[in-house]
Amino acid sequence: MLMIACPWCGPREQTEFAYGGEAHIARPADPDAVDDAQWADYLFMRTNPKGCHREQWNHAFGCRRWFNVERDTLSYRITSVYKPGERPAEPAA
Amino acid sequence: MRDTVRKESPLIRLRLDASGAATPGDSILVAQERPFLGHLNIRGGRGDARFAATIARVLGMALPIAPNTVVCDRDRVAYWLGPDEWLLVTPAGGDTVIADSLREALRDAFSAVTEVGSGQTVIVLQGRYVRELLSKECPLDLLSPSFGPSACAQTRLAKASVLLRPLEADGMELIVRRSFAEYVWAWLSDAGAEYGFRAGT
Repeated sequence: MLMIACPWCGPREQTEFAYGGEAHIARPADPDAVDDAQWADYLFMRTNPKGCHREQWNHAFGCRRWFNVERDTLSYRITSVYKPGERPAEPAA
Repeated sequence: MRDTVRKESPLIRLRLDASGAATPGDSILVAQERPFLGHLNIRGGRGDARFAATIARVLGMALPIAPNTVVCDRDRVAYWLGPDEWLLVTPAGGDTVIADSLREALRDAFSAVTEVGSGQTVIVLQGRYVRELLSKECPLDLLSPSFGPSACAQTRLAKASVLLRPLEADGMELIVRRSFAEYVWAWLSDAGAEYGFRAGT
């Protein structure tokens, strides 16, 4: 069980949250200009790292806001929590 | 036609009006529904300094800025729901007038005022073991003294989302969705049996 610190509500139990996948995936600015391979890469391909991972979470049972979490997929330790549009405190290793 | 519509509490099938008065105590935990109150969802204010001032002028009360806090003013309570979202609970029937005047005052602002009273209801619990009861299926640290009057929290109770507000003297207010009201009540009466759960009127 993770304790996740919502940027607004503070530490809450994982059962209050919904996971939203990898963060910082930018939609191609001009979808018509990319080929099928690039579009498939945007839609489906994720980094799935062993280690530091930046991901989106939604405080579904609380304030219902989206935010970003930097988490180690090996140790499950959360190293940073930041609001949408912000960058994590330190660059990922 | 509008006058002929009969309002029904989401708990109407439980026939709570047939339950008598009960006094909370060490061995009795009393639950009461407060149906038909006015509930207004207010959204807006992102990067708009005039929003808070306009609300304060129209309502005569400020909205809470700190997360998970409430502001009480006479018979109205404003709850923080999010950085740009609040809930205002008013006496029955009081929400329509407030909504109209808020919409008028905010018509140039990026905002929304929505009457949600028919979509949710209020349950008030009183008794010494209210927090023990809720702790069975609520992930918040309800036994912490920091969760006291003037605080509120949206959280999870069993499988329902609830908005909790501690009241004076061992009380707790729950605001639940209409569609979850019967479920929450059934859960409370089952989990609260050992604390002497009673329905009060």
